Amino acid sequence: MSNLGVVLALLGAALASLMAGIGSAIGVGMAGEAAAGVVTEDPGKFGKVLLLQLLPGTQGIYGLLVAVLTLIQIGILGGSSEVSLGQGLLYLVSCLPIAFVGLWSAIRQARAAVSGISTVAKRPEQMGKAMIFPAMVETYAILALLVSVLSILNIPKINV
Amino acid sequence: MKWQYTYAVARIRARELSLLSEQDVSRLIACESYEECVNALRDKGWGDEALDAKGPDCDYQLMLKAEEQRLWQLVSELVIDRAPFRVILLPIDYHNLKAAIKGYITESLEDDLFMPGGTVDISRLTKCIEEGDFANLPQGMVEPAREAFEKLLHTGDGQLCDNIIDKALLNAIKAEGDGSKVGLIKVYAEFFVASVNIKVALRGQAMHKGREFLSSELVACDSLDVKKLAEVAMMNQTDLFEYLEITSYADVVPFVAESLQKFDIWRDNRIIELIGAEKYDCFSIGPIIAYVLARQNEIKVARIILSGKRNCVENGLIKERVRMMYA
Repeated sequence: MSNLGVVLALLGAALASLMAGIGSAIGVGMAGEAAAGVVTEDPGKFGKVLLLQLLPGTQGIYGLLVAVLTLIQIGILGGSSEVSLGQGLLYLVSCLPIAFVGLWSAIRQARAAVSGISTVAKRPEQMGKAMIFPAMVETYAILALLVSVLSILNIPKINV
Repeated sequence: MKWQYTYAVARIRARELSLLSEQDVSRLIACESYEECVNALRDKGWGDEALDAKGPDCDYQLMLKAEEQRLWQLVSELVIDRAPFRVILLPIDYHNLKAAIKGYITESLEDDLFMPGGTVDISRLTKCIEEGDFANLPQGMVEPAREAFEKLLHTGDGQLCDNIIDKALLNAIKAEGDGSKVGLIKVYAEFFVASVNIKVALRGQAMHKGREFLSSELVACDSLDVKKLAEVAMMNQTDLFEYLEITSYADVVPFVAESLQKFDIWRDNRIIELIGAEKYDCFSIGPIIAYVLARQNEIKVARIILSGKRNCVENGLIKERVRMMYA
């Protein structure tokens, strides 16, 4: 078990990409159903509803970003990896913000996006406002991404 | 499956754009002739190609029938299970049950007695009545059908037959509301039963009916004390109105004080108010049920206007009879 640090860091990377990815898949799927409903009745609104459908997809990208950053930091992409148990645990903890916030915010953002799609269906001229409501949820995914990224980048400086 | 209606509700939202608004209704009333009115509805997408070929003097009933069929066609595209719509469709089933019993006993069973679109197949209904096989009817219909059939056979009293089946309908709608997890179905079922109770009380009072009639006709519901309602209905109109004013149906009083015919306008407007909250829900079946009710209301309003125009009724009189719109 000399490489337990690497295992923990990898677990963190896996969680970040898995949970945020699952959240985005659920969210984009949900918003896609609503978008398809509107397009069935009015194909001319495709462009507008597509933008709203894509909003919950960003969390999956953030999860991927954090996972790749972790893999680079622990040196796994280079072929060899030297991570202490303490550092491995720190990487795992650093990945958790985007993992959990990514999952939950993508689902909640999708609910807001579906409501926005309903708004666009009835009032296409209110597209801008309909975009703002789900976009507000993004703030918290970005905050979680920042915490995860800053933590991961600074772990090598900590001597544990 | 918390989000199983996401697609359906989004389609409904897009469809709501084509619902008639209050302004559309005013414009229809302002039309100078029946033909102009039919053309205005056609411009809004009403009717179909077969009707278009007949020109503007076609029978408006065909146009409205086509719209009703189109509505249920849309519902069948959106939802697989029509069970949540039973609360709306039950009145059709119980009307058809009445028609089957009366038609069979009076030997005048004709197709045009029945209303299409119910949950029970009309041929099944007539077969059960003709063969006296009541047990094969849907559960809630078995006993009322047997009782109504026997009473009509022995007394020839069509009103009594109607009363038995009408009460069975109310019980079925109440059970539907009680057994549903959908908020709108619960609220709608409760309002349906309560509004019929109020109507029975008002009519009973106007016709000086006794306690026995009122007690047998009223169906228990949560928003009205039916014992008290029967009691005040046996007194005078003022007592009945005073009781209604302390219930959640106080707004019915100004309508029925003016005329009993205004009761239906109050009832339909109240349903439109009741379904208004569904405009902000994006995930449940509520908006789809609300759309069906709104569309049925719209068809009813179109019928009032077209029938008025065809019979050269004054615009002011038509305006008095139209209902509130959902759009």
